[in-house]
Order: sequence, then C-alpha cells, then structure tokens
Amino acid sequence: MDNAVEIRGLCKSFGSFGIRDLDLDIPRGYVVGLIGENGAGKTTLIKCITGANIPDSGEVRLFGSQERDGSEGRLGVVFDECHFFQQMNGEQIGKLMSSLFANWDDARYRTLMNDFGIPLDKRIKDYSRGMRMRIQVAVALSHSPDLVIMDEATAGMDPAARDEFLDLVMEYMQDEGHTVLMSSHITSDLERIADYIVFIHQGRIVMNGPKDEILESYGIVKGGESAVLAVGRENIVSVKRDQFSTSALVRDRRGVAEAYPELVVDPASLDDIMVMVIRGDAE
Amino acid sequence: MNGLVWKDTTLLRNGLIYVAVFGVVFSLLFSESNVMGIVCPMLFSSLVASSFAWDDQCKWDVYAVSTGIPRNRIVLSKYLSSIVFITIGFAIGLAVSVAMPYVTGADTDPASAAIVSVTGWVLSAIVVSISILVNYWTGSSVKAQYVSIVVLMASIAFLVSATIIASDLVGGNMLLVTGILLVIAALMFAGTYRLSCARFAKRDL
Repeated sequence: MDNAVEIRGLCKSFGSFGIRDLDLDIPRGYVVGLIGENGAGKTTLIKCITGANIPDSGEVRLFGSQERDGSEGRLGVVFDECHFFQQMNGEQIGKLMSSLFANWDDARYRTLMNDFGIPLDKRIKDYSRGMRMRIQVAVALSHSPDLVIMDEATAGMDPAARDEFLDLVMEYMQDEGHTVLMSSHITSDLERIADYIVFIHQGRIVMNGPKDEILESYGIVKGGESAVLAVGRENIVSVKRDQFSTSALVRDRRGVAEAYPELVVDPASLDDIMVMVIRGDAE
Repeated sequence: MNGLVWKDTTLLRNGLIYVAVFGVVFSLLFSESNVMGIVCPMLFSSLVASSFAWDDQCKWDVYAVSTGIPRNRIVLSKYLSSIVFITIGFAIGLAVSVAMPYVTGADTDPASAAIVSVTGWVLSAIVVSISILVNYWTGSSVKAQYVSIVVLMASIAFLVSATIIASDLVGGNMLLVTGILLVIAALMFAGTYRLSCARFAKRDL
C-alpha cells in the first residue's frame, strides 16, 4: 500500500512527557483518525509529522521522503489554535496564501469563506472560535494539498457546523490521492468518516487498525468480577471496577459471547474503548 | 518569499508610518539635517524586531513550517524584510536631509547628505543582521527581549562611534569608510544568516 506518511521508531520528549518508539503508516487515500486522552502525545506526533517539532530520534517520511524542501503546499493543516495574524482580514490572508502556495485556488477560497459565512473584510481578531477554525479549513482546502492534517479541528464547532465540516472532508476525499489525518475527542465524527483509527495512550500507540474491524471486534463485558475475569487474560485488554460491577474491554467480542453465553457482551464504541483503556487496569 | 516579505510590511504598515513621522519631527526639532541620514534608517531597523513579535504572537512559524515552507526561507525573508525597512528609512532620511536646509535656510550639500544616508543604510544593515541573529538565538521570552534590546543598543553605539573614529583616521574620507562598512555588512549578513538558519533549524515550534 502506498503511504502518505511513514514513521519508524519516532521518539520525542519534553521532560517527563513524550512519545516513544512510534511506528505508524498513514496510507494514501484514506482518513485516519487519531484518538487519545489529553496529553497522550497526539499534537506532538502531528508536529513531528509536519516538521514543527524536531524528533529526538526516529524517522518521518512524508510522501516517501525525509526532506521537507519542495513539499510546500502538499500539506494542509488545521490546528486547534489559529496561527493567522489577528490584524489581517480574510482578503489579506487569501493574498498571503496565494503568494505562498503555487496551487492556490482563490475562487475556491472565496467560495468556502462565503459558504462559511465569513466576510472577507473582517479581521481575524474579531472572529469567533468557530470562524477561526473555518478559515483554517478554507485555507487548507484551497491549495490542493495531498495530505490534510487536522488537530482538534471540530472542537468548538456547533453540531451543524461539524456536520458541514465533515461533508467537506468527504468531498475532499473524493480524490483518491487525498489523505486526511484527523485527531479529535469527538469520536462520533471519526466513527462517521475515518477508515483507520490510531489510539495513542501515554506516548505509545496502543491500537492501530481499520475502524470497522475495531468496532466489529472490540466489546465490553459486564457483570460480577469473577464472571468477567473468567473470560481470560488473553481476551481482556483492560478492566474497570466500580462499586457495583466490573467491566472488561475484550478484543474478540463475538468469540467471547460464543464461549460465555451467560455474559452480556456489548459492542464497544470508540469512546468506550478510550475510557476503558485510559481509566481501566491493563490485564 | 514575496508573500513572507509582504506579510511583514503589511503588518508593520502603521509602524512604518509612525517611525517616518517621528523621524521628520525629530529632524525639525534638532535642525540637524544630515544626521537624519543616519537616524532614519536606524529607526526603521528596529521594525524587524517588531516583525518577530507579530510572528510570535500568533505562532505563525508553526503554520508556515507545517505547510512545508523551508525554515531557511523563513529566515531569509526576515533579512529581505529588513532591507525593505531600512531602504524606506534611507529614502526618508535622504529626503529630509536634502529638504531641511531649504526649510531652515542653511547651506545645502546634497552630495554630503547622500553619502551620510548611504552610510546610515549600511550601518543599519549591520544592526539588523545582529538583531535578526539575536532574535533567533534568544527566542521570544521577555528576558530574551531585554537581552535583545541591550545587545542592539550596544551595537548601535559601537558602530556609530567606530564610524566616527574611522572617519577621523582616514581624514574624513566617508566614501572609504562607507565602502569598508559595506563589506562588513555583506559579511555580517552572510554570517548571521547561516547562524540564524542553524539555530532555527533545531527549534521546536
């Protein structure tokens, strides 16, 4: 499979926090969702991919090359924090981007800004949080990047705006050569559009695979502690004990359900998987 | 590249106007027209530090590097922006130097004013090369900004004093002094550019 991004042995630390020995391939032509708790290392990973952070060790290849020179415009980015100048307006941002990116499509930018309801003469310092995200999206989709990376892009958006945004992502993905890496705490968005899910926990990748496979295979077993633990350590990813019951995240819910018909085994959503891994005890 | 320079000049448009007005008022107050050939480019050279402040305020470098703009190009754009700023300062300083005597009724010497203005441009070029390197070396913290100001003030004082002394040593031949300073400025640009690139290449944004 052709990969947009290939990562081998990536390490980056900031004091006691960091990402360690990450190996990851982001296949071209797919949407990859990146999940993890706050401080897991998602943004650090994204910044190592984009080149904003310099890895301590390891290798990051973008479109088959470690060199960044010549790649301007091939990467579109949307950050949770808007890095455009507050004193500029949409018109000036468009003019700036047209001089930076060879493939800048000014008509597309204006159309997107119009669809997003953002006046071009309004200064960014007067934008709401949602508008700051939208102008980043408009810019990212207007220079025909091969890879779009979004770090919490839908945070702060209302449901209608998120729905519109996800439609834009799907429209962008109509081109089979386009790739999206999207980190989000709103896992329902990723369940809707992602093809692959990467779960980072405490600086390491704990889960990486096709979304449908993950949602199809993982499940939550609930019941008394002894009954739940009876499914066996080899099947259990983590266990969460509370005052009244025990829950276990299992890798093969259909297999467990067949082997232990007396147990209740529910499908696990991405939210469930995250909560169980982060708050549960590993077995 | 053009976009990065355009960005700096657009953001500092108001600053350019304020500094220009200050320069003109300064010259009217002191009626020392030739001095404006030195003072104006020096004033405009301070704007490059403001361009760094604008970038740091919104962490523009994170976006620029993330979209594939080479770090060396970002550094080079600062040098080009600074040349734009000091050239504007040179033009205003020269215009004031030539026009002021007509206002005050003093004797005019456009050739002398031009030489002094060129010297001012070259001195400012040396100052901005130091300023850019200091900005990349010390970063954007408050402490670093104070260090940057101290280094700049010391550089300006040293350069102006050295120029005056050198002029006396060569019997007032400002063309020779300016020529030597031009070579120094070119070497400073090249040297500080390489050091700035090396420093910026290792910075986590």
